[in-house]
Amino acid sequence: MMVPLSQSMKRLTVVWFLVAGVVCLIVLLQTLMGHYGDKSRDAWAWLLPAVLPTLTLIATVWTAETRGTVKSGVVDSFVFWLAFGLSVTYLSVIALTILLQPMLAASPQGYLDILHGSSFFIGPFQAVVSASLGAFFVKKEAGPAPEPGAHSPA
Amino acid sequence: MLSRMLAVLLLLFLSTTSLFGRLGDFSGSWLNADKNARIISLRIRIDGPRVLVGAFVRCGSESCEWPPVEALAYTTSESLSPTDAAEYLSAVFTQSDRETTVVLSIPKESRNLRADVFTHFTTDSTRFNFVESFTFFRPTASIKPPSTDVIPSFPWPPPQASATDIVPRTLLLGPGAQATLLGDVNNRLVAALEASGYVGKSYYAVPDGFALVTQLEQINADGTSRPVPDRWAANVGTLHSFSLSEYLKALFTANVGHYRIIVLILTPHPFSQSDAKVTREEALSWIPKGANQLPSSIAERDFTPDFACTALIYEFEELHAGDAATLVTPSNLSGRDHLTKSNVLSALGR
Repeated sequence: MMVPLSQSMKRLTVVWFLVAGVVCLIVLLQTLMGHYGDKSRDAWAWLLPAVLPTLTLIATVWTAETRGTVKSGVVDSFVFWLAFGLSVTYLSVIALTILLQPMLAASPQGYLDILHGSSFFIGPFQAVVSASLGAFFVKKEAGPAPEPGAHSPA
Repeated sequence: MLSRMLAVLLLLFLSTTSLFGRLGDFSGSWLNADKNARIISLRIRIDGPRVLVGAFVRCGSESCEWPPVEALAYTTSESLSPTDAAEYLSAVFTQSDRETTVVLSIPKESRNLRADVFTHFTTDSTRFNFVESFTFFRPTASIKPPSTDVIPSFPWPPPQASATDIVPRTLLLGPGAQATLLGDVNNRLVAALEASGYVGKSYYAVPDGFALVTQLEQINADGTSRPVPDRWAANVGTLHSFSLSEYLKALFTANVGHYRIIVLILTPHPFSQSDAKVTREEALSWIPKGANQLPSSIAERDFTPDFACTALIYEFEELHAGDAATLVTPSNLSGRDHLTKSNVLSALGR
C-alpha cells in the first residue's frame, strides 16, 4: 500500500517541528529563567544534537523537493508509519526527559544528570529513528499521486 | 526531733509579727544577701501540693548542693490552706554530722525571703547547736547566665539577623496572668510554637534569660511555611505532590530554597547584634548543640517588666539547589511578617 509522499512528509514535518519547537521553547524559557543556573550550555548541548540533525534532514528534503523535478510521488505506507511512529516515540522521550525534571531532581546538576543519563538510550534510539526516516525518504517513488482520500493515511 | 521542736518554737515567736504570703510567693531562686554565709542560694519549687526546697552551700572553698527536700508549709490557722495563706516553710536537710532546719518566711511588704537556719549536730558532742538568720533576694538581673556545663550559651551579642521583632508582652503573659516566671513564659512560647508546627527546639543561655531556637524550616518566598515534608528538609527537594503552579514553577525557574530559623530571646538587657554573619550550617547546628529543655535555674526566675522577648529571624537563601545558602540581610519581610506568616503570633494570641 502506498501513501502520497507530500502528505506523509507534511505529517512528519509537522510532528518534528512542532514537538522539537515546543521542547526548544521550554529549554529556552528554562535558560532565561535560570532553571539550569550557569549550566544552560550543557542543556543545549544535550538537546540540539538530539533534534537538530533530523530537523536539518527534513528541511533539506523539503528544499530538494521544492527545487527538484519530482513534484509528487508515493511511499510505502509501512515505511511511513514506521518512521512516523518511531519519530513520535522518540520526540516523546525527549519531551518527557525535560518535563519530568521537577519530579526527579531539584538542582541544576540534578537536571543535567537526568539529561546526560538519558543519552544512553536516546543515542541508539536516535540512530533507529534516523534510519527509519532515511528509509522513508529513499523509498519514495516517482509517480502519480493516488486519488485524494483513496489511500490517505489515517 | 530537736530541730523540729526548735522550728515550732520559732514559729510561735514569729507569729507575733505580721507576716503574709501565698505558697507561690516562695517559688523561685533566692540568693543570700550575705555573700560570706554558708548557704549561698535557695531554690524553692512548688509542685502541686508539694514544696521542694534545695540549697547551694559552701563546702570549703567550693560550693555543693543540698538536694531538694520536701518542705512543710504553715499557715496561722488550721482552717487556712497553705496554698493561699502559707506564711512559713520549714525544710530539714540532713548531713553526715548535722541536721539543718531552715524556716522560711516573707515579711510583710518585703520582696525578700527571711531564712532562720537551725543547726543541730548529731554526732559531735563538742559542738553546740546554733541558729542563724539570713535575708535572701531574688536574683532577677544580678547573676550571670548558667555556666556552659549546664546549658550552652547563645552567641552574644547575637549574630546579625535577617529581621527582628519584639513579641508583645501581653501575648507572653496570657490572659489574667500576674506574677510569672520565665518558665511560664517558656511554656506559652512552646505551646504556640508547637501549635504552629515547630516541635524541634533548643535552649541556650543569654544574660539573665534564655534563647529558644526553632528548627530550620523551608519557607516560601512570602514567608509561609512549606508543606511537610519539604518544610523540615535541609535541602530543596523534588515535587512530592502535583500542583500545576508548583510544577510550572519547578519546571521553568531556578529552584530557590528559602530557609528560616526563629530565635526567641528573653532577657532584661537591651542588646544589639554583632557583625558576624552566621552560615546555614552553623545555624543548623543550633538545634543539636542546644539544651533540650529549660533548666529550672532559669525557669524559676521572675519575668519582670524589664524583660523583653526579641524574635531574631535568620533567613537563608539557596539560589540553586545544591549551592551554598547565604544569609539574607535584610529580609524582604519584616520580623512581624515572619512571625505572622509562621502563625506564631496568632498561636500566642489564642
